[in-house]
Amino acid sequence: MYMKIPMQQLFTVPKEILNDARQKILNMEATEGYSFKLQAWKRVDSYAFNSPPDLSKYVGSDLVDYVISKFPDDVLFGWSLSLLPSKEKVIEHTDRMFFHRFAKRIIVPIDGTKDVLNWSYDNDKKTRRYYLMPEGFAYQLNTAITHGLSNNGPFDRRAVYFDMIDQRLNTKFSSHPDLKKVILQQNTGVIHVL
Amino acid sequence: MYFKNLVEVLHDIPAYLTEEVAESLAKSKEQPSSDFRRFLGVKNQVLGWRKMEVDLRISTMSIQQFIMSQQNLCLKNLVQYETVIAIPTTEEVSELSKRYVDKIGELIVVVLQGSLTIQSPEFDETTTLTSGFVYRINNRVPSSITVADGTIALCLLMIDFDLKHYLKEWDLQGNFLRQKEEHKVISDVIEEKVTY
Repeated sequence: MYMKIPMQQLFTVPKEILNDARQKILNMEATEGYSFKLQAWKRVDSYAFNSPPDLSKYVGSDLVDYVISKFPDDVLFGWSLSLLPSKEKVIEHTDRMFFHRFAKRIIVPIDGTKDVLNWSYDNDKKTRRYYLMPEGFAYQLNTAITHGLSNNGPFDRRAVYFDMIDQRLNTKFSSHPDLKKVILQQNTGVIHVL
Repeated sequence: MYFKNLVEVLHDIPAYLTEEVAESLAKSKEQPSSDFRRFLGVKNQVLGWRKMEVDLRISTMSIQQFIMSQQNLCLKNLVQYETVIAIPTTEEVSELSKRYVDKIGELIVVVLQGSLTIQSPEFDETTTLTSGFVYRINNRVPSSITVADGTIALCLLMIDFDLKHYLKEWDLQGNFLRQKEEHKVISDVIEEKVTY
């Protein structure tokens, strides 16, 4: 979803919930592993499944229930798990699918956020605006503008992405033929779907 | 938007509404000029709503309100995105419109003066558009247009009110390439219908 700012800090996430989620993600990494890789950036995306598993399976129900409870008018449309290794970058991109414009992209950093630098571009499409997203909070990201991040720290950075969509919009557009299609052919920066 | 014909007649329209627009345009200092947007052929000349003088703007609004008052199902939830006076010129087969807004929006055409004939290599039909009717145009297929001298049309591009709000200008104006599976074999096409 587009916002007038690059990123907004929304609410705190208790440390015990984050620790629990982190342990479950480590278990997932040791067993299933990530299913999608873009350079060094690893992901598990609900969108890659025909019948997506419950996110609770990967991060525990405490985190999922906690985040969802903060959005009483929304539904969890999709989710992603993200791992960015130390000293690696997420290539600059703009989220280009139809549903991205409706979905609030909520990011909950799990660990490894020290020295992770996030950025997006100003209206002039040239000026980078940097920001940090330390653990302990949930953030909403402006995914309609070109953004990227660089993990300059010594730890792998893990995060959980929740795509929350207003119930009315979800009902209205659930059968739209373009819902999970890329709608933009071109944009600034190097392009990837997610 | 795509549908299984090239042109569909929605309903008729009183002559006084179209005459009022034509008269206002004749008096207007602002006239249609070349434009990158393809409403009726690649080289159509266009006068957008923002540049229209007040009388012309009011008379085009009357037509728009009349069309919406007919409560046609294909216009459900749709609101104005672009309203233009277009002067088409005869073209070879036009390029397929590439803007995303042309894929998800409805192009409604009201001929003010003259007539235009539209045909597409993808449909076995040729349709002549004349004044007195409101037409829905399939702008997701390449088409060619033949026009009578002095043809002027009012074109309304309409999209869902939520899409107008949530999709950004660069989404709507951005290029959208026709997908391989999209409308490849006409007989197999599932018509996109407004179900919301």
